[in-house]
Amino acid sequence: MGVRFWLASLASLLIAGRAEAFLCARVSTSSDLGPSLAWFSRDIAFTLHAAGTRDIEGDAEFDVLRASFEAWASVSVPGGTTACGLAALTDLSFRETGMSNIDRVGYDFLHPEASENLLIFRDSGWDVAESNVIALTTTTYDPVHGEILDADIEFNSTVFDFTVGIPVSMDLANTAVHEVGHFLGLAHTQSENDDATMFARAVPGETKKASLACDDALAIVFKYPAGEANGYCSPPTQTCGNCAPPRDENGTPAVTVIDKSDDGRLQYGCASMRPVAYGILLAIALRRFLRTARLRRLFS
Amino acid sequence: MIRYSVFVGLVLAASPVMGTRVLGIGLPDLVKRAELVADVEVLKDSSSSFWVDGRIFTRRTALVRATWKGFSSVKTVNIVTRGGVVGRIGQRVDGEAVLDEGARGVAFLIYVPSLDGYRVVALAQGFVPLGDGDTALAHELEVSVRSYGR
Repeated sequence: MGVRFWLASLASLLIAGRAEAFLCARVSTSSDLGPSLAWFSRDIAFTLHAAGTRDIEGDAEFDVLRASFEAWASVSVPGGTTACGLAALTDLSFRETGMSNIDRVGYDFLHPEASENLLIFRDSGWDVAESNVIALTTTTYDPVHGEILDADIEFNSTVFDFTVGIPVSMDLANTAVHEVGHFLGLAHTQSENDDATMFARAVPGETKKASLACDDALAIVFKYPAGEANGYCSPPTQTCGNCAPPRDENGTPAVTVIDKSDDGRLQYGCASMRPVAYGILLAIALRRFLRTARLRRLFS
Repeated sequence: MIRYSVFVGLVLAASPVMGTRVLGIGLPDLVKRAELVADVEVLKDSSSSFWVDGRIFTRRTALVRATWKGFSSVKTVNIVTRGGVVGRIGQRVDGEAVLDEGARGVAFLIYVPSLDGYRVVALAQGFVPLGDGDTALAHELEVSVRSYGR
Protein backbone atom coordinates (compact mmCIF):
# COMPACT_ATOMS: atom_id res chain seq x y z
CA MET A 1 0.00 0.00 0.00
CA GLY A 2 2.88 2.35 0.85
CA VAL A 3 4.54 1.92 -2.54
CA ARG A 4 1.28 2.37 -4.38
CA PHE A 5 0.51 5.45 -2.35
CA TRP A 6 3.86 7.02 -3.18
CA LEU A 7 3.52 6.11 -6.83
CA ALA A 8 0.09 7.70 -6.91
CA SER A 9 1.50 10.79 -5.24
CA LEU A 10 4.30 10.94 -7.74
CA ALA A 11 1.87 10.50 -10.61
CA SER A 12 -0.31 13.28 -9.20
CA LEU A 13 2.70 15.50 -8.89
CA LEU A 14 3.71 14.77 -12.47
CA ILE A 15 0.24 15.61 -13.68
CA ALA A 16 0.18 18.78 -11.61
CA GLY A 17 3.60 19.71 -12.87
CA ARG A 18 2.84 19.28 -16.59
CA ALA A 19 2.98 22.62 -18.43
CA GLU A 20 -0.19 22.77 -20.53
CA ALA A 21 -0.92 25.22 -23.33
CA PHE A 22 -4.71 25.14 -23.32
CA LEU A 23 -6.59 28.14 -22.02
CA CYS A 24 -9.99 28.54 -20.46
CA ALA A 25 -12.23 31.32 -21.70
CA ARG A 26 -12.42 33.82 -18.83
CA VAL A 27 -14.74 36.52 -17.64
CA SER A 28 -13.00 39.78 -18.43
CA THR A 29 -13.21 42.37 -15.69
CA SER A 30 -11.85 45.87 -15.57
CA SER A 31 -8.92 44.92 -13.35
CA ASP A 32 -8.10 41.33 -14.20
CA LEU A 33 -9.45 38.15 -15.59
CA GLY A 34 -12.30 36.66 -13.64
CA PRO A 35 -13.46 33.07 -13.35
CA SER A 36 -13.24 30.83 -16.35
CA LEU A 37 -16.43 30.01 -18.19
CA ALA A 38 -17.91 26.59 -17.70
CA TRP A 39 -21.16 24.70 -17.83
CA PHE A 40 -22.43 23.83 -14.37
CA SER A 41 -24.10 20.72 -15.70
CA ARG A 42 -22.32 17.80 -17.37
CA ASP A 43 -25.44 17.01 -19.41
CA ILE A 44 -25.51 19.69 -22.10
CA ALA A 45 -28.30 20.24 -24.61
CA PHE A 46 -27.93 21.51 -28.16
CA THR A 47 -30.31 22.25 -31.02
CA LEU A 48 -29.68 22.08 -34.74
CA HIS A 49 -31.27 24.55 -37.09
CA ALA A 50 -33.50 22.60 -39.41
CA ALA A 51 -32.45 24.35 -42.63
CA GLY A 52 -28.92 22.99 -42.50
CA THR A 53 -26.86 24.29 -45.40
CA ARG A 54 -27.16 24.20 -49.17
CA ASP A 55 -23.43 23.44 -49.37
CA ILE A 56 -23.91 19.84 -48.34
CA GLU A 57 -26.22 17.34 -49.96
CA GLY A 58 -28.82 15.52 -47.93
CA ASP A 59 -28.57 15.84 -44.16
CA ALA A 60 -24.94 14.88 -43.77
CA GLU A 61 -24.12 18.15 -42.02
CA PHE A 62 -26.31 17.18 -39.07
CA ASP A 63 -24.45 13.95 -38.49
CA VAL A 64 -21.17 15.84 -38.58
CA LEU A 65 -22.40 18.33 -36.01
CA ARG A 66 -23.59 15.56 -33.71
CA ALA A 67 -20.27 13.79 -34.06
CA SER A 68 -18.45 17.02 -33.24
CA PHE A 69 -19.97 17.02 -29.77
CA GLU A 70 -19.17 13.36 -29.33
CA ALA A 71 -15.53 14.07 -30.15
CA TRP A 72 -15.30 15.94 -26.83
CA ALA A 73 -17.40 13.47 -24.90
CA SER A 74 -15.41 10.53 -26.24
CA VAL A 75 -12.68 11.33 -23.77
CA SER A 76 -14.94 9.63 -21.27
CA VAL A 77 -15.52 6.52 -23.33
CA PRO A 78 -13.39 3.52 -22.33
CA GLY A 79 -10.83 3.06 -25.02
CA GLY A 80 -11.34 6.65 -26.22
CA THR A 81 -8.76 9.38 -26.19
CA THR A 82 -6.50 8.03 -23.50
CA ALA A 83 -3.33 7.96 -25.54
CA CYS A 84 -2.17 11.15 -23.82
CA GLY A 85 -1.63 9.32 -20.56
CA LEU A 86 -4.66 10.87 -18.92
CA ALA A 87 -5.14 9.89 -15.34
CA ALA A 88 -8.72 11.12 -15.36
CA LEU A 89 -11.62 11.31 -17.73
CA THR A 90 -14.52 13.62 -18.37
CA ASP A 91 -18.17 12.75 -17.84
CA LEU A 92 -19.61 15.22 -20.33
CA SER A 93 -22.66 14.07 -22.24
CA PHE A 94 -24.62 15.85 -24.92
CA ARG A 95 -28.31 15.75 -25.67
CA GLU A 96 -29.91 16.89 -28.91
CA THR A 97 -33.21 18.62 -28.31
CA GLY A 98 -34.48 18.35 -31.86
CA MET A 99 -34.52 20.73 -34.79
CA SER A 100 -35.38 24.40 -34.63
CA ASN A 101 -36.71 26.82 -37.23
CA ILE A 102 -35.86 29.85 -35.16
CA ASP A 103 -32.70 31.47 -36.46
CA ARG A 104 -32.17 33.91 -33.62
CA VAL A 105 -28.82 33.59 -31.94
CA GLY A 106 -28.05 34.82 -28.45
CA TYR A 107 -29.87 34.84 -25.15
CA ASP A 108 -33.41 35.83 -24.32
CA PHE A 109 -32.89 37.35 -20.89
CA LEU A 110 -36.62 37.90 -20.48
CA HIS A 111 -37.40 34.24 -21.24
CA PRO A 112 -34.20 32.33 -20.47
CA GLU A 113 -36.03 29.00 -20.58
CA ALA A 114 -36.71 29.64 -24.27
CA SER A 115 -33.05 30.06 -25.17
CA GLU A 116 -31.59 27.25 -27.21
CA ASN A 117 -27.96 26.28 -27.70
CA LEU A 118 -28.29 26.62 -31.44
CA LEU A 119 -26.03 25.49 -34.27
CA ILE A 120 -26.93 27.29 -37.49
CA PHE A 121 -25.54 27.80 -40.96
CA ARG A 122 -25.73 31.28 -42.45
CA ASP A 123 -26.05 30.62 -46.16
CA SER A 124 -26.62 34.32 -46.69
CA GLY A 125 -26.39 37.62 -44.89
CA TRP A 126 -23.07 37.18 -43.10
CA ASP A 127 -21.62 40.46 -41.78
CA VAL A 128 -19.33 41.76 -44.51
CA ALA A 129 -16.93 43.16 -41.87
CA GLU A 130 -16.26 39.58 -40.79
CA SER A 131 -16.17 37.84 -44.15
CA ASN A 132 -12.93 36.03 -43.29
CA VAL A 133 -14.50 34.53 -40.16
CA ILE A 134 -15.31 30.89 -40.81
CA ALA A 135 -17.50 30.40 -37.76
CA LEU A 136 -18.49 32.23 -34.58
CA THR A 137 -19.42 30.98 -31.16
CA THR A 138 -21.38 33.34 -28.94
CA THR A 139 -21.30 32.35 -25.27
CA THR A 140 -23.61 33.88 -22.69
CA TYR A 141 -22.60 33.58 -19.05
CA ASP A 142 -23.07 34.71 -15.48
CA PRO A 143 -20.20 37.19 -14.94
CA VAL A 144 -20.01 36.50 -11.20
CA HIS A 145 -19.54 32.74 -11.32
CA GLY A 146 -18.65 32.17 -14.96
CA GLU A 147 -21.54 29.75 -15.47
CA ILE A 148 -22.32 29.35 -19.15
CA LEU A 149 -26.02 29.95 -19.68
CA ASP A 150 -26.22 29.63 -23.44
CA ALA A 151 -23.93 29.04 -26.39
CA ASP A 152 -24.65 29.32 -30.11
CA ILE A 153 -22.51 28.46 -33.10
CA GLU A 154 -22.90 30.13 -36.49
CA PHE A 155 -21.17 28.82 -39.59
CA ASN A 156 -20.30 31.29 -42.36
CA SER A 157 -21.61 29.34 -45.32
CA THR A 158 -22.22 32.66 -47.07
CA VAL A 159 -18.55 32.96 -47.90
CA PHE A 160 -17.15 29.47 -47.32
CA ASP A 161 -18.19 26.21 -48.92
CA PHE A 162 -18.36 23.58 -46.21
CA THR A 163 -17.77 20.00 -47.18
CA VAL A 164 -18.08 16.62 -45.54
CA GLY A 165 -15.39 14.05 -46.18
CA ILE A 166 -13.96 15.96 -49.13
CA PRO A 167 -10.96 18.06 -48.10
CA VAL A 168 -11.44 20.68 -50.80
CA SER A 169 -12.75 23.76 -49.10
CA MET A 170 -13.72 24.06 -45.45
CA ASP A 171 -14.14 20.68 -43.87
CA LEU A 172 -17.16 20.99 -41.61
CA ALA A 173 -15.91 18.65 -38.90
CA ASN A 174 -12.57 20.48 -38.78
CA THR A 175 -14.43 23.68 -37.95
CA ALA A 176 -17.28 22.27 -35.87
CA VAL A 177 -15.12 20.40 -33.35
CA HIS A 178 -13.18 23.61 -32.75
CA GLU A 179 -16.36 25.62 -32.24
CA VAL A 180 -17.72 23.07 -29.80
CA GLY A 181 -14.53 23.64 -27.81
CA HIS A 182 -15.53 27.30 -27.47
CA PHE A 183 -19.07 26.17 -26.71
CA LEU A 184 -17.59 24.29 -23.75
CA GLY A 185 -15.62 27.28 -22.48
CA LEU A 186 -12.22 26.79 -24.06
CA ALA A 187 -10.28 29.65 -25.58
CA HIS A 188 -7.63 29.33 -28.28
CA THR A 189 -4.67 27.32 -27.18
CA GLN A 190 -1.28 28.89 -26.63
CA SER A 191 0.29 25.83 -28.16
CA GLU A 192 2.36 26.41 -31.29
CA ASN A 193 1.21 23.01 -32.47
CA ASP A 194 -1.32 23.67 -35.20
CA ASP A 195 -2.58 20.12 -34.88
CA ALA A 196 -4.41 21.16 -31.72
CA THR A 197 -8.11 21.48 -32.32
CA MET A 198 -8.23 24.75 -30.38
CA PHE A 199 -5.49 26.35 -32.47
CA ALA A 200 -6.94 29.62 -33.74
CA ARG A 201 -6.37 29.40 -37.46
CA ALA A 202 -7.47 27.00 -40.12
CA VAL A 203 -6.81 26.66 -43.80
CA PRO A 204 -9.04 25.29 -46.56
CA GLY A 205 -8.72 21.56 -46.99
CA GLU A 206 -7.57 20.93 -43.43
CA THR A 207 -9.10 18.00 -41.56
CA LYS A 208 -6.69 17.26 -38.72
CA LYS A 209 -8.46 19.43 -36.18
CA ALA A 210 -11.55 17.24 -36.33
CA SER A 211 -9.71 14.90 -33.94
CA LEU A 212 -8.63 16.10 -30.53
CA ALA A 213 -4.94 16.45 -29.85
CA CYS A 214 -3.54 15.79 -26.38
CA ASP A 215 -3.73 19.49 -25.51
CA ASP A 216 -7.44 19.48 -26.24
CA ALA A 217 -8.16 16.26 -24.37
CA LEU A 218 -6.24 17.50 -21.35
CA ALA A 219 -8.21 20.74 -21.47
CA ILE A 220 -11.59 19.10 -21.36
CA VAL A 221 -10.55 16.62 -18.69
CA PHE A 222 -9.27 19.48 -16.59
CA LYS A 223 -12.40 21.57 -17.02
CA TYR A 224 -14.91 18.76 -16.54
CA PRO A 225 -13.21 15.93 -14.65
CA ALA A 226 -15.41 12.90 -14.12
CA GLY A 227 -17.03 12.92 -10.70
CA GLU A 228 -15.33 16.10 -9.56
CA ALA A 229 -16.02 19.82 -9.53
CA ASN A 230 -15.12 21.91 -12.55
CA GLY A 231 -11.51 22.86 -12.97
CA TYR A 232 -10.84 26.57 -13.34
CA CYS A 233 -8.27 28.78 -14.99
CA SER A 234 -5.24 27.79 -17.01
CA PRO A 235 -3.68 24.96 -15.12
CA PRO A 236 -1.59 23.88 -13.54
CA THR A 237 1.20 26.44 -13.78
CA GLN A 238 -0.82 29.10 -12.00
CA THR A 239 -0.97 28.93 -8.26
CA CYS A 240 -4.30 28.80 -6.53
CA GLY A 241 -3.98 32.44 -5.57
CA ASN A 242 -3.88 33.48 -9.20
CA CYS A 243 -6.78 31.37 -10.20
CA ALA A 244 -9.48 33.95 -9.40
CA PRO A 245 -12.11 31.47 -8.24
CA PRO A 246 -15.73 32.50 -8.63
CA ARG A 247 -16.84 35.05 -6.11
CA ASP A 248 -20.24 35.93 -4.79
CA GLU A 249 -21.66 39.43 -4.84
CA ASN A 250 -19.75 40.29 -1.67
CA GLY A 251 -16.50 39.31 -3.29
CA THR A 252 -16.08 36.20 -1.16
CA PRO A 253 -14.40 33.35 -3.08
CA ALA A 254 -16.83 30.52 -3.63
CA VAL A 255 -14.53 27.54 -3.35
CA THR A 256 -16.92 24.87 -2.24
CA VAL A 257 -18.60 22.54 -4.64
CA ILE A 258 -22.13 23.56 -5.45
CA ASP A 259 -24.45 20.68 -6.09
CA LYS A 260 -27.40 22.13 -7.93
CA SER A 261 -29.29 18.90 -8.50
CA ASP A 262 -32.90 19.67 -9.17
CA ASP A 263 -34.27 17.32 -11.77
CA GLY A 264 -32.02 14.37 -11.10
CA ARG A 265 -29.17 15.68 -13.20
CA LEU A 266 -26.11 16.32 -11.13
CA GLN A 267 -24.61 19.73 -11.56
CA TYR A 268 -21.16 20.76 -10.54
CA GLY A 269 -19.88 24.22 -10.05
CA CYS A 270 -17.22 26.51 -8.83
CA ALA A 271 -13.60 26.17 -8.02
CA SER A 272 -11.62 23.02 -8.11
CA MET A 273 -9.51 22.32 -5.05
CA ARG A 274 -7.04 20.50 -7.25
CA PRO A 275 -3.88 22.58 -6.61
CA VAL A 276 -4.47 22.41 -2.85
CA ALA A 277 -5.38 18.73 -3.01
CA TYR A 278 -2.11 17.89 -4.73
CA GLY A 279 -0.19 19.82 -2.10
CA ILE A 280 -1.90 17.95 0.70
CA LEU A 281 -1.33 14.61 -1.02
CA LEU A 282 2.36 15.37 -1.44
CA ALA A 283 2.70 16.47 2.18
CA ILE A 284 1.10 13.25 3.39
CA ALA A 285 3.32 11.20 1.10
CA LEU A 286 6.47 12.93 2.29
CA ARG A 287 5.50 12.52 5.92
CA ARG A 288 4.95 8.79 5.48
CA PHE A 289 8.16 8.39 3.56
CA LEU A 290 10.18 10.17 6.23
CA ARG A 291 8.55 8.15 8.98
CA THR A 292 9.34 4.90 7.17
CA ALA A 293 12.90 6.00 6.47
CA ARG A 294 13.41 6.81 10.16
CA LEU A 295 12.05 3.41 11.18
CA ARG A 296 14.36 1.66 8.74
CA ARG A 297 17.37 3.51 10.15
CA LEU A 298 16.32 2.53 13.70
CA PHE A 299 16.11 -1.18 12.88
CA SER A 300 19.00 -1.44 10.43
CA MET B 1 8.33 42.44 -51.02
CA ILE B 2 10.36 41.78 -47.90
CA ARG B 3 9.01 44.95 -46.32
CA TYR B 4 5.48 43.85 -47.16
CA SER B 5 6.10 40.45 -45.68
CA VAL B 6 7.43 42.01 -42.52
CA PHE B 7 4.34 44.11 -42.26
CA VAL B 8 2.00 41.24 -42.77
CA GLY B 9 3.90 39.30 -40.17
CA LEU B 10 3.83 42.25 -37.78
CA VAL B 11 0.16 42.82 -38.28
CA LEU B 12 -0.74 39.20 -37.81
CA ALA B 13 1.63 38.75 -34.91
CA ALA B 14 0.31 41.83 -33.20
CA SER B 15 -3.27 40.59 -33.31
CA PRO B 16 -3.89 38.97 -29.94
CA VAL B 17 -6.31 36.31 -31.04
CA MET B 18 -7.06 35.30 -34.56
CA GLY B 19 -10.78 34.87 -34.26
CA THR B 20 -13.23 32.15 -33.38
CA ARG B 21 -12.04 30.38 -36.50
CA VAL B 22 -10.66 32.59 -39.24
CA LEU B 23 -8.60 32.76 -42.32
CA GLY B 24 -5.60 34.97 -41.77
CA ILE B 25 -6.01 38.24 -43.60
CA GLY B 26 -3.17 40.34 -44.92
CA LEU B 27 -2.68 44.06 -44.56
CA PRO B 28 -3.77 44.96 -48.12
CA ASP B 29 -7.06 43.16 -47.56
CA LEU B 30 -7.61 44.85 -44.22
CA VAL B 31 -7.07 48.25 -45.82
CA LYS B 32 -9.33 47.42 -48.73
CA ARG B 33 -12.20 46.28 -46.52
CA ALA B 34 -12.00 49.17 -44.10
CA GLU B 35 -13.76 52.48 -44.66
CA LEU B 36 -11.68 54.12 -41.98
CA VAL B 37 -8.19 53.27 -40.80
CA ALA B 38 -6.96 55.30 -37.89
CA ASP B 39 -4.56 55.45 -35.01
CA VAL B 40 -6.98 55.57 -32.10
CA GLU B 41 -6.96 55.66 -28.33
CA VAL B 42 -9.91 54.26 -26.41
CA LEU B 43 -11.19 56.83 -23.96
CA LYS B 44 -11.66 55.89 -20.33
CA ASP B 45 -15.19 55.53 -18.95
CA SER B 46 -16.58 55.61 -22.46
CA SER B 47 -17.98 52.12 -22.77
CA SER B 48 -21.58 51.07 -22.64
CA SER B 49 -23.03 47.66 -23.37
CA PHE B 50 -26.44 47.02 -24.83
CA TRP B 51 -28.69 44.28 -26.15
CA VAL B 52 -29.63 43.84 -29.80
CA ASP B 53 -31.85 40.84 -30.54
CA GLY B 54 -30.29 38.53 -27.99
CA ARG B 55 -26.73 39.69 -28.58
CA ILE B 56 -24.70 42.03 -26.40
CA PHE B 57 -22.54 44.69 -27.99
CA THR B 58 -20.25 47.22 -26.36
CA ARG B 59 -19.78 50.70 -27.72
CA ARG B 60 -16.62 52.60 -26.84
CA THR B 61 -15.50 56.05 -27.85
CA ALA B 62 -12.01 56.41 -29.19
CA LEU B 63 -9.97 59.51 -29.82
CA VAL B 64 -8.65 59.63 -33.36
CA ARG B 65 -4.98 60.53 -33.20
CA ALA B 66 -4.48 60.23 -36.94
CA THR B 67 -6.52 59.08 -39.93
CA TRP B 68 -4.72 57.04 -42.53
CA LYS B 69 -7.69 56.17 -44.70
CA GLY B 70 -11.11 57.82 -44.68
CA PHE B 71 -12.40 61.15 -43.44
CA SER B 72 -9.52 63.05 -41.88
CA SER B 73 -11.74 65.48 -39.99
CA VAL B 74 -13.05 62.82 -37.63
CA LYS B 75 -12.01 63.60 -34.06
CA THR B 76 -13.63 60.71 -32.23
CA VAL B 77 -15.27 57.49 -33.31
CA ASN B 78 -17.65 55.06 -31.67
CA ILE B 79 -16.34 51.52 -32.02
CA VAL B 80 -18.78 48.69 -31.39
CA THR B 81 -17.59 45.19 -30.59
CA ARG B 82 -19.43 41.99 -29.87
CA GLY B 83 -19.75 40.96 -26.26
CA GLY B 84 -19.96 42.73 -22.94
CA VAL B 85 -21.91 42.65 -19.71
CA VAL B 86 -25.40 44.02 -19.14
CA GLY B 87 -26.65 43.62 -15.59
CA ARG B 88 -26.06 40.01 -14.52
CA ILE B 89 -25.58 38.65 -18.03
CA GLY B 90 -22.30 38.57 -19.90
CA GLN B 91 -21.64 37.55 -23.44
CA ARG B 92 -18.45 36.72 -25.24
CA VAL B 93 -17.36 35.94 -28.79
CA ASP B 94 -13.93 34.37 -28.91
CA GLY B 95 -11.56 36.27 -31.14
CA GLU B 96 -13.37 39.59 -31.06
CA ALA B 97 -11.14 42.66 -30.95
CA VAL B 98 -10.14 43.63 -27.42
CA LEU B 99 -10.44 47.36 -26.81
CA ASP B 100 -9.48 48.05 -23.23
CA GLU B 101 -9.90 51.52 -21.79
CA GLY B 102 -6.86 53.58 -22.60
CA ALA B 103 -5.69 51.15 -25.26
CA ARG B 104 -4.07 52.59 -28.30
CA GLY B 105 -3.87 50.91 -31.65
CA VAL B 106 -4.51 50.97 -35.35
CA ALA B 107 -8.14 50.22 -36.07
CA PHE B 108 -9.54 49.06 -39.39
CA LEU B 109 -13.18 50.06 -39.26
CA ILE B 110 -16.41 49.86 -41.19
CA TYR B 111 -19.46 51.94 -40.30
CA VAL B 112 -22.69 50.19 -39.30
CA PRO B 113 -25.62 52.64 -39.09
CA SER B 114 -27.85 50.27 -37.15
CA LEU B 115 -25.28 50.14 -34.36
CA ASP B 116 -24.48 53.87 -34.51
CA GLY B 117 -20.81 53.13 -34.71
CA TYR B 118 -17.94 51.42 -36.45
CA ARG B 119 -17.26 47.71 -36.36
CA VAL B 120 -13.73 46.34 -36.45
CA VAL B 121 -12.97 44.51 -39.67
CA ALA B 122 -12.03 40.84 -39.33
CA LEU B 123 -12.48 40.68 -35.54
CA ALA B 124 -9.20 40.92 -33.62
CA GLN B 125 -7.16 41.12 -36.80
CA GLY B 126 -8.63 44.55 -37.43
CA PHE B 127 -7.14 46.13 -34.32
CA VAL B 128 -3.38 46.27 -33.98
CA PRO B 129 -2.38 47.34 -30.45
CA LEU B 130 0.38 49.91 -30.20
CA GLY B 131 2.53 50.32 -27.11
CA ASP B 132 4.62 53.29 -26.10
CA GLY B 133 7.65 51.84 -27.80
CA ASP B 134 5.94 51.08 -31.08
CA THR B 135 6.66 54.39 -32.82
CA ALA B 136 8.57 52.75 -35.63
CA LEU B 137 5.85 50.15 -36.15
CA ALA B 138 3.18 52.84 -36.21
CA HIS B 139 5.12 54.79 -38.81
CA GLU B 140 5.72 51.78 -41.01
CA LEU B 141 2.06 50.78 -40.77
CA GLU B 142 0.97 54.28 -41.70
CA VAL B 143 3.16 54.28 -44.78
CA SER B 144 1.82 50.92 -45.91
CA VAL B 145 -1.82 51.75 -45.18
CA ARG B 146 -1.61 55.01 -47.12
CA SER B 147 0.06 53.16 -49.96
CA TYR B 148 -2.54 50.38 -50.14
CA GLY B 149 -5.39 52.80 -49.56
CA ARG B 150 -4.78 54.87 -52.68
